[in-house]
Amino acid sequence: MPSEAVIVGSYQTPYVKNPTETTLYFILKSIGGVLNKYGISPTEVDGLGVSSFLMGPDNTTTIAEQSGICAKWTYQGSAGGAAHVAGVLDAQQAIINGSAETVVISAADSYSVAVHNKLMNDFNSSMRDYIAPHGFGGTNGLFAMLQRKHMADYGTTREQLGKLSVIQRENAAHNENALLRTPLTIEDYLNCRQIAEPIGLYDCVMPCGGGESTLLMSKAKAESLGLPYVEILAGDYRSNYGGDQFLLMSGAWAEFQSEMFSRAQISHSDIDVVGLYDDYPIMEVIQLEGLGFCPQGEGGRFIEDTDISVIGDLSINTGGGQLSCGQTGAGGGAIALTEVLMQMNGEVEVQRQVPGPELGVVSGFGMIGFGKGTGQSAMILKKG
Amino acid sequence: MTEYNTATRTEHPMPVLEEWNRPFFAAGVNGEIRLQLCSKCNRTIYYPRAFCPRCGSEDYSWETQPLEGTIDSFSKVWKAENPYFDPELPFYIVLVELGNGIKFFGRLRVASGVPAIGDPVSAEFVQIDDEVWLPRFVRG
Repeated sequence: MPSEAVIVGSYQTPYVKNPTETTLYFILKSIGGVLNKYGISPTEVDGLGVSSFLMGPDNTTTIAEQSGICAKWTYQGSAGGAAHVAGVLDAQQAIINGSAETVVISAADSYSVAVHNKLMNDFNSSMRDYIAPHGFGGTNGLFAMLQRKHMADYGTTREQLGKLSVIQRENAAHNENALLRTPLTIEDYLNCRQIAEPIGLYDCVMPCGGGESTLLMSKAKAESLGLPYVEILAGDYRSNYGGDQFLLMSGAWAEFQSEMFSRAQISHSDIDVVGLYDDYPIMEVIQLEGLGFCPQGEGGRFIEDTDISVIGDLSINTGGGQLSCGQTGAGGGAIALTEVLMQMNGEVEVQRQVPGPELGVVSGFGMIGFGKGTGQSAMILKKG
Repeated sequence: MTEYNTATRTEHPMPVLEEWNRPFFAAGVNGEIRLQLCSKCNRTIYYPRAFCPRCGSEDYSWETQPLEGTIDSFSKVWKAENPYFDPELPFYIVLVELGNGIKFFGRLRVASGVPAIGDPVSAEFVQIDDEVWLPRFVRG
């Protein structure tokens, strides 16, 4: 019997720079955190999903054991930073189909610069065999080539990209859990040291430890428990969109966004708040283009011409994003959703509260393979 | 041109050799870039695959590829992901559009001038061990 599914909310652990805590710690703290936040016991949970680069030797099934959850439905995220959003969409379907009623989706890693660099040399077979042996500067090198090409082909400027870093840092000043909160000026951005040209220090995220879990349940259960909720109007994802393109200038969002908005029966101008996967500002531009907020190639100019602050026309990464909060490995795919949910549930510090957000878009991206990210996901959310 | 340093061999990040990529990594011994040509649909396959990613055929031949191309994009890297490459910093990475349209990833050696998108480059080869040569591109 089909059941409407809703997202109750997310819990985010404190983020930790150079963590001594393990990945298991962050996964379990995020799951325990969301259960306690909403007063749900593990025995009530019947669906579980986990996305994590470093969770081995555990997997979703063994995390269910650690958590005391008997799962009728499970999800093991494989699409990197796209996996959490994709997992939430799959959980929604599981609840609609009656496979489960109360689902936790978690994403977490105990991450640091050293851990990230080590992972990049053995991240997957194509990167290991055809990129890493050359020496490549990690993801910084790959996204530098993408940014250079976007700048050359479309005239995107570093000033436009830097606006994202600067505004998101302003937002992070009002986010206790952000690791980088000191103000950043556009001059700081433009003059900072280059990591892999044209990517500079303030284009890069800081890997850190942390995790977040999202709780979904049937709408009926959420209402009977008096819990807040947010509805998923539509969403979609792809794994390995783009064939053999090494530099993926247009992601899978371009393929599914039109149908996604049409299923949701809303238009782009209705959207109040956006959470983009911000491993680099250039990817935020590419997501805005792919999601249809502006035409292909116009993302830089769109950023320049739009007030993207919390009081602006389209508020982007209102908590600071990964660029100011930190990147918790695969947990980086969850931070955007956590922030949009908190905005809609009125849980954020008042100085970064978007006034009355009704409709939002959250985007996921990741799992870099042979140059391109092989995972793209997105969903449209409506305040319940 | 070959370089073979046994002292650092164990630290160099290495590919895992499979039936479908050994000839790719070995082609540099003859100064060649070789890629699979699908016998069924004629697709040139890069990176090397177990079966054609377009038609699924497991039948292919190894064909030589152009050794010249143009720069599609590049970056000057100041921080290496693997400390093995620290002594080489800063170095250039490049995506080269070869004469056959294939976009090939590798390192760029800048012999003269400053690289730009569209610059012509040509391939040379660096030997890593008995079975592995890596193509590298030269500008200027």
